[in-house]
Amino acid sequence: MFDYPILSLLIWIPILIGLLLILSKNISDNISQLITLLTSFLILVVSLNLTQAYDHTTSQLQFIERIEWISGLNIFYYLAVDGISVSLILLTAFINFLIAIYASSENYVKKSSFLGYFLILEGLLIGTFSAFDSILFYIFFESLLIPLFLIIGIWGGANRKYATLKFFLYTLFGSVLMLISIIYLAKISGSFAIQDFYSVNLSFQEEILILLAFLIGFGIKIPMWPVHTWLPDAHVEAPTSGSVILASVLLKVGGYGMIRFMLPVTTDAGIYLSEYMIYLSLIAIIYISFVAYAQEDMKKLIAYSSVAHMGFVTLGIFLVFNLLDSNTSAAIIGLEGAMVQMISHGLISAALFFCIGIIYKHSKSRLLKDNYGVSKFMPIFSFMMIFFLMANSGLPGTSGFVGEFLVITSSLGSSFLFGFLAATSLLLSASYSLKMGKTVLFGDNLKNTQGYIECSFNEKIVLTILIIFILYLGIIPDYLFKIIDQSVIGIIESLSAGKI
Amino acid sequence: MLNILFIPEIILSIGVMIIILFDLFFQKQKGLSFTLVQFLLLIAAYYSLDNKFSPSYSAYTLNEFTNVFKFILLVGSLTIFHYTYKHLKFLKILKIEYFTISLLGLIGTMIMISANSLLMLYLGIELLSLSLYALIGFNKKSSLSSEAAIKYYVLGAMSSGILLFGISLIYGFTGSIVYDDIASQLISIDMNSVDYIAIVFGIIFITASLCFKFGAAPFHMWVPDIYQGSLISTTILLSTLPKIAVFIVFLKLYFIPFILLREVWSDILIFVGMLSIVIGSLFALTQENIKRLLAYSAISNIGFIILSLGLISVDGIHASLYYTVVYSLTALASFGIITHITSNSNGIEKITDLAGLSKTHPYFAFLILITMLSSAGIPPLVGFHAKLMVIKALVSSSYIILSIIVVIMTVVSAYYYLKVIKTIYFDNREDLISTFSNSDIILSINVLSLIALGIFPYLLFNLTSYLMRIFSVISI
Repeated sequence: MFDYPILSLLIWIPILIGLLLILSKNISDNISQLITLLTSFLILVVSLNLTQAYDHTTSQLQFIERIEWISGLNIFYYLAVDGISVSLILLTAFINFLIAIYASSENYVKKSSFLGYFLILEGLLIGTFSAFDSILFYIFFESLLIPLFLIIGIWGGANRKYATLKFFLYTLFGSVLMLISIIYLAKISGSFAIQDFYSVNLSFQEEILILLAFLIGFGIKIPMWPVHTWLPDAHVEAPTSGSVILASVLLKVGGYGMIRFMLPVTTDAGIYLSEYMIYLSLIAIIYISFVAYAQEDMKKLIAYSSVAHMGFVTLGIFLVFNLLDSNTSAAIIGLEGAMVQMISHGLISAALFFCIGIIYKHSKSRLLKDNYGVSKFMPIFSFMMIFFLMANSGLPGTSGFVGEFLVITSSLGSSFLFGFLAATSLLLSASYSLKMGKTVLFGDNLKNTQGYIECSFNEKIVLTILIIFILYLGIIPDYLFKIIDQSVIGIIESLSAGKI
Repeated sequence: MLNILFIPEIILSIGVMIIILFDLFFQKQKGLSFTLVQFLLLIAAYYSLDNKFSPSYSAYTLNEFTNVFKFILLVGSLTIFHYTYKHLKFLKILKIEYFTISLLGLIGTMIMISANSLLMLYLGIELLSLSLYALIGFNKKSSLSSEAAIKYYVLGAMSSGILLFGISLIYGFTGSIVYDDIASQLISIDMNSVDYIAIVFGIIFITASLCFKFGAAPFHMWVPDIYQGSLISTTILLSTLPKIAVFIVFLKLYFIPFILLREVWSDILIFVGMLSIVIGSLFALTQENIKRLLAYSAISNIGFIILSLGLISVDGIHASLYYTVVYSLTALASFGIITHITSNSNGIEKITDLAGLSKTHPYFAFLILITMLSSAGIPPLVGFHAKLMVIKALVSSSYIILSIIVVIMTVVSAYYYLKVIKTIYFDNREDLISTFSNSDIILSINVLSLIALGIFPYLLFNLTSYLMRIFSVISI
C-alpha cells in the first residue's frame, strides 16, 4: 500500500497541470508538449504502480480515501478501486500517454490549451472510474463533457458546432435522469455511497423506473442503439486525438456505469427486462454492422463499428441478468467478456482512429473514394493498419477475439439464438473492416497524386505499442483476467445472493 | 460603540444626502464622489454585521438573519457599483445621481428585509420601485430605455395597488399588520368562515404582487423588455438586489404569518415555480439578444427558488436559500462580464456580437465559459450544487414527475447557454471587440468563486445551514 493518497494524485495532478497549461499565456509549443508528455508518463507509471500494488485475490475495495465533503447532505469525497476500476484506469493512462506522443508531432492552434484539455480529461476519467460516492461519480461523469465539448468545438471539423451541441445535449439528457434516480436511491438508503445502494429495498415498479433511467443515461454514453446517433457526428468532427479518447475511454464510462450501478441496484428489474435489452444489443451488433458497411466516410465507418462492438459489451452485461438464475458460470464469462471487450476495443479503436488521422493528414479527406492505394506509398503503415482492421474483425490471436469469444460463449449458455446472432458479427465486422482495408490500402491508385508519406517516428511508436498490447492481450490475456476476476465473481455472487 | 437601531440604514440615508450635496458643489470630482459612495457602503457593510439588537413585536426586526442578508446586499452593491462606474464612464453618461438613486433603492431592499409589518414592507417595496423607475429610464438617449421605464412604472404601480389591496384584506380580517400578530390571529380562524376566504384572497393578492416584483411567470412579461431596454448596469441591479430582497420577503411572510394557511399558497408557489422554469427555459431558446436571454434565464432561476419554497420542507427552504445566493453570484458575474465588453464601441446587444471573443480576449471568454456552464448546472461548478439541492428537495418531498420536468428543462436551458459558449469559442468575426481593460480583479474573484464554491461546496453550505438554524429559531 501507499503512504500517499494515490487516487487523488492520479486525478488532481493532470487536472491541475492541464489548467495551468490552459491559463498560462505565451507558453511555447515545445514546452507544453514536454510537460504533457512528462505528466502523462508520470500518471502511466503511477497507475502501473497502482495495478501492481492492487491485491487481485480479493474483490474488496482498495486504496480507500473517504473524507466528508458536504456534511449536511451526507456526500463524501470517497475514492476507491476494485479490479474493474483498476483495469479501466490503466487503459485511460495508457491511451492518454499515446495521445501525448501522437499530438507532439501535430500542429494545432493554441496547442498548449489543446494538450491541457486532454490532461483535464484524463484526470476526470480516472475520477469517474474511482469515485464510489454517487454524487462524486456524477460530478466527474458530467464534467467530462466540458473538455470534450471544447476539444471538438475548437479544434474540430467544419460541422463541429452541430456535432458538439448534439453530443452535449444528448449525454446531458441521459445523465440528468440518472441524477434523479441517484437522489431517489439516496433518499431511500440515506447515503450517497454507491455500495449502500446495493442493499436498498425497492418495489418492483420503482426498480423498473430506475433501471430505465440508468439504461438511458449509460446507454447514451456507450452508446446503444437507438440512442447512438450523436457518436458518428461527434467522431467525424472531432480532431484525431479527440476521436481516440472518445472511442477508447469515454464510451467505456457507460459500460462501467452499467456494471457499477445497473447490475447490482436493479437486479430484479433487470432479470425481468433482460430479453428486451439483449435484443437491443443484438440490433446494435447486427444492424449497426450493416450501417457501418454502407459508410463512405472512414471515421463514420469506425464510429459505427464502435457502436457494434460496444453492443458486445452491453450484451455481456445484460446476459448476466438472463443467466443469473440458471447458469452462474456463464454469467461470469459474460461479464468478463464485456470487460475484456471494453479494454480491447479501447486499444483497437484508438489504433484505427490514429490510422485514419494519419491518412487524413496527407489526403485531407476522410472519404473512402478519395483514398486509394495507400499501401504503395506507406508500406509499414499499411501493414499496421491491416493488422488493426483484422483485430477489429476479431481475428484469433488479437485481443478483439477474446472478448467477443467470451460473450458469444456466454450467450450460447442462454440460448442458441442469442449465440448465433451474436456470432454473425464476426462475419459482418470482417466484411466492413476488410472493405475499408481493400479500398484504402490496396485500391488502384490511378489518378491519385496526393503525397502519402510514410508515417513519422512518433506515429510509428504509437502504433507499434498498440500492436504489442493488442497481441499481448490476444495471446496471453491472463494478466487482465487476474485483475478483474475476483471483482467480477464478487459482483455475480452478491447478485445471486441479493436477489429476491 | 453606537447604540442605535438600524445603523446601516441611517448611515446610508445620511450619506446619500451628503453625497448629493457634495456632488452639487464639486461637479468635476466624479471620482471623488464615487469613492465616497464606496466608502459609505463599506461603513454600512461593517455595521450591518454588528447590529444584534432585536426588539420583539415591532414593525422592524433586526437579527442575525437579516444582518447577513443586508451584508450580502451591501457587498453586492459594492461589486455592482464597481462594474457600473467603469461602464458609465465608458459610455460618457457618468452621473453621481445614478449611484445615489441606486443607494436609495438599496435602502428600500434593506427595509424589505427587516420589515416585520405589511406597511413597512410596502414602504420598502415602493422605495425600491421608485428608484428603479428612475434608473431604468436613465439612458435618456435611448427610446427603448424610456419605453422600458414607462412599462415598468405602469405595471409596477398596478402591482403595488394589488399588494395594497391584499394588505388591506389581511388587515381588515385579522386586525393587524404586524407579522407576529397576524400569525397569532390566524391560529384561531375558522376554516368555514367568511374571514378565512377573505384572508385567502388577501394572500393570493400579495402573492401575485410579490411574484410580479420577483419576475416569476405568469407575471414575467415585463422582465425581458425591461432588461433589454435599460442600461446593462441597471440590469445587474435589477437582477440581483430586488431578487434577494423579495426572496427574504417571501421567506418571512410565508413562513411566519401565513404558515398556518400553507395549503393555500404551497400549490400556488409550486405552480408558479414550475411555470417560470418551463417558460424561462423554452422562451430563451429563440432569443438573439443577450440581455433578453439572460432575462429569461433569470425567470427560470427564480422559478427554482419559488418552487423549492413551495415545497414547505426544511430541504426546500435550505435549497432556496442556497439557490438565491448562487443565483446572485452568477448573475453578478454574467452581467458583470458583459459590462466590460463592448462591440463597435456600443454595448453588447446581440449574442453574435460576442463571436470570436476567445481569439481576441481569451480572459473574458474563459470567464463567460465558467459563468455559462455554472448557470447550466454543469458540475463541478457551483450552479450544479444549487440545482442538485432543489432536485433533492423535490425528490424527498416525493414530487418525482416535477423533478423529471425540472431536469429536462435544465437540459433545454443548457442548449442556450452552450449557444453562447459556441458563439464565443467556435465562431469567428472580422471586426474587433474591445474591452475597457484586460482584466478586472473583482470580476475575476467573482467568477473564480463559482469554481471554488463548486469544488468546496461546504463553504457556502455551512453558511446557509447556519442561516437555516437562525431562521428556524425566529420562525417558530
